This record gives sequence, C-alpha cells and structure tokens, in this order.
Amino acid sequence: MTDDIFIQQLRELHYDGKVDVTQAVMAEVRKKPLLVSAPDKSRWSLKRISAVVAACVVVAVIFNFIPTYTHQVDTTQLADDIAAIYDFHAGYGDNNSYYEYYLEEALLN
Amino acid sequence: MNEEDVIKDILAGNVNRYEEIVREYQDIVANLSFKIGGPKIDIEEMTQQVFVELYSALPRFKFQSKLSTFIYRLTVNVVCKELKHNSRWLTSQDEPNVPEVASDDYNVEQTIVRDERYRKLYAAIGRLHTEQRTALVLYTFNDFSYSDIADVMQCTVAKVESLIFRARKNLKKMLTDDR
Repeated sequence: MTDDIFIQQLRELHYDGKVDVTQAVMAEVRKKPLLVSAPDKSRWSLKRISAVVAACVVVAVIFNFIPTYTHQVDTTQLADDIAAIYDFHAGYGDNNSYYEYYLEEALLN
Repeated sequence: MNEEDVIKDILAGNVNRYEEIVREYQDIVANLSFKIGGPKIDIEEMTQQVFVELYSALPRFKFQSKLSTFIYRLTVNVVCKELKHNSRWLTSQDEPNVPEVASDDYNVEQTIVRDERYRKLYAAIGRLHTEQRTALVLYTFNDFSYSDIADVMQCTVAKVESLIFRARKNLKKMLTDDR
C-alpha cells in the first residue's frame, strides 16, 4: 500500500452522521451577551503593566542583592581585615598575653 | 455569505445572524472532530462546544486569518483538550465503529472489503500521537497546505512537515503490519 492510497482513503473517510446543533447553540448564545473589544484591550494593557512592574521588581531585587553579596565574599577585603588584625597584634611585640586575654574574653562572652 | 459582514453584525448585537455561521460550518466541525477525536468522542457535544466557544471568541477575531482557519483551530483545541482529559480513542480490543462511506458500489463483497479497509485505517490513525494525527487529518482535509496547517496548529511549517512525515511513516508501518 503506497502513501497516496491511504491518504486518499483518509480523505474519503468522513462522518456521515447528521449533526444539527443550531438550535442548541443559539439557545446557549442568546443567554450570554458578547463583550466587545474594549474590555479586551484594557485587559491586555493591564497584563502588560503587571508584567513591566514585575520585571522592574525583579531587576531592583537583583541589583540590590548583588553588592551585598559581593561584599560578603570579597576575599581581598577579607585578606585586608586579617592583615590589619596581624598588624594590631604585632604592635604588642612577642608578648601575646594582652591580646589573648581580650580574645578569650570576647570568646567567653 | 459575507463572513466579515455577518461577524460585524453579530458584534453589533444581531445575535440571530450567528445561526448562519453555525449552519455553514457545523458539518465541517463534526467531521474534523470525528477524524481527530475518534469514535468514542461525542461528536454532537464537541460541535456544540466549538460553536459556543467560537461565539465567545468572536470579539477577538481580527479578520487577519480566514474564519474557517479560526474555526478549525478552535475545533482542534477543543477536541485535543477533551482527549487530554478523557484520554481514549481505541484500545486494542475495541471495534472501531466506522460510519459507512458513501458509494455507488452495490456489490456486497466489495463493500465488506472496503469497510474492513476503512476500519483498519481508522483504527491505525487512532494509534498515532495526537499531534501527528491532527496534522495528517488536516493535510487530508479540504486540501490544506502546510502553511494552513501551521496556522491552525499554531506551530512552524517545518514542524508540520515533520509531523506529517512521521505520521505517514507510522501509519504505513501499522497498516503493513496489520496485513
């Protein structure tokens, strides 16, 4: 069987039951008045406005979040902080007791 | 019937003119529902639902495509939605109830052979994936072009080509295996 034969058969195959839904459909549509285009347009613009507002909120959140996040993981800043602590520590020479005392106090509290 | 005038009239409040659209397209909608939806689908209910939905959708119709294309698209959507909710066409045990195809042939033997052939064909298209079946049915329906089918199915022409190619291949395989 070639393609063309069954395509032809498919063309011939049709629903021969008689359908008349006119009365049923008309009874149904008479119940509900049509909403003509104006509300449709406003619905579209409302959708667009909502989409733009949502996009702005997302952008604002992202831009607000990024600096905080980068500050927290800024390793250069962290290294500088550690170096500053060591410098502070070095100011007390070889005797660490003063520094260690305050460190212990801080940890205990 | 000038469809544009009829639709404008309906939108202006003359609801009675909607009857003209229903009368013009109800057989086509029933036929398309039968081919896409299968023998277990309630053709009358589907047809009615399509026209009720079409009425609500009329304000959105902007005359950018033909009304027929809009109706076919709606029919495909309504029938596919129905198939999705009540997923069934034919199980292997079901005997497809194929309506007789009009013919002048009065030879009983030939009629039986022909009916059997249609029964097998109908059962085979029922085993196709819904998208493939829809594309193939539209292809054989009113000699639609690929572009028309793409418009109805709201996809690209390339996808339609691919769907029809696979549908024909699968159908051919099924009909050959069934012999």
